[in-house]
Amino acid sequence: MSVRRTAIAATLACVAGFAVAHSATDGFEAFTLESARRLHALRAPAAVPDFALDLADGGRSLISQLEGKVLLVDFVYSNCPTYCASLGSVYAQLQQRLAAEIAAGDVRLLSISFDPERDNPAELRAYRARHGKTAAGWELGVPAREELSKWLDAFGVVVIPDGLGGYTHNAAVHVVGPGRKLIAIVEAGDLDAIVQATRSATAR
Amino acid sequence: MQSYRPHAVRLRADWTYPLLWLALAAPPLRSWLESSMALHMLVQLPLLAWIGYCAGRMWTRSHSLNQLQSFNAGGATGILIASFAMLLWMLPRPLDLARLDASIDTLKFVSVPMAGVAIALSWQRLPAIARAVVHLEVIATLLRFGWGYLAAEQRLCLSYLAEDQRVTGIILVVLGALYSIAVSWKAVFGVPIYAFFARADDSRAAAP
Repeated sequence: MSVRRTAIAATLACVAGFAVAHSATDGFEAFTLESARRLHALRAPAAVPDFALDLADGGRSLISQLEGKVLLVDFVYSNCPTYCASLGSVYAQLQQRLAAEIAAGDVRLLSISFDPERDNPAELRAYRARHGKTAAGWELGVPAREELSKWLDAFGVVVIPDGLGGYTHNAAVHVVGPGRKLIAIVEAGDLDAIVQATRSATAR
Repeated sequence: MQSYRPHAVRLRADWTYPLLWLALAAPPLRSWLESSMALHMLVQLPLLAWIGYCAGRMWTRSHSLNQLQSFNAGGATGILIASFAMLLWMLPRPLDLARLDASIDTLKFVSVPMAGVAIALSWQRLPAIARAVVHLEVIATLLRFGWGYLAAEQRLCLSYLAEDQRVTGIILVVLGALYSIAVSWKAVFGVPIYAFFARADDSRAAAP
């Protein structure tokens, strides 16, 4: 009697366990939060709210007011010795590889500082000058202090102190397409993938 | 033959368990334990499971369980539920979400003690072979997760640093090694490992 009951209960427990594991990992594909957010961007792109930011080149703007069909957004802080330096050189290379699209006004590069305390417009312009020869198509901005966490939540960026006075974060290039939809999050070092995602987004 | 059984670590009074659970759930202790991956996975989770286990042991003494235990012959159902729960909470994504999202953290504070209750209701009923299988799976899981966290080239958890991940991996592997020594001690030497710690004048110590 209790063997049969147990067999049924144990089978149900296994089925329930698998169902929970399946939904908790997006069908056993995303075991980390980073892979989950990249998967969600591809499968169910959500629109990023129309945030305001102070541009390093001067003036205040909303995301929707920025020129370009496709925005390539990354999050940096200018004193960063590691990721942000490599992101800077990635963006400099993107300036060259996407030069045609930038000149046509289809694509804009946007670097957002998540350290509004220390990063003023001059610092950000200096950061850009360290990596790129021109400012063509590459804008930098600082969000309002009270909006910073909303920016980070909307893009799925998690910033933690690295114990050495700086920050560590999940650095990546966010492709924001028409309608402010976050349509792809691409590994920062993978230039070919970024260029391909951008070109397919501009073609839509 | 009298055999020496260690007393499981228990708190004095029954009401101390909910109190400990509340203390763990309260912001100061919770954010301290969740601030490091090693503390989160290897101190907070086991403590929560242990609270549930002790509560479960108290429940088994009350004899009101016969209906429930008819679904748990040989301890199968309980061990399966507990295995799924503990495995899921060791993955990077749930660990991250527990730190970042309060509702997931609440889910953790409820489900992990319940896994402990399930173990308490099931362990005594497991036959020896099933216990051996569970031991092997625990060792394998500790080593697999430990190696996974050690060998990963990138940070798997967004809320924790790479060094934290490396240390957690090392501790998991060490725990796996210690656990395998503890369970194989009896198989090799014929006496359980806790007899090693019995006092010489303890009349309940097993004869070698």
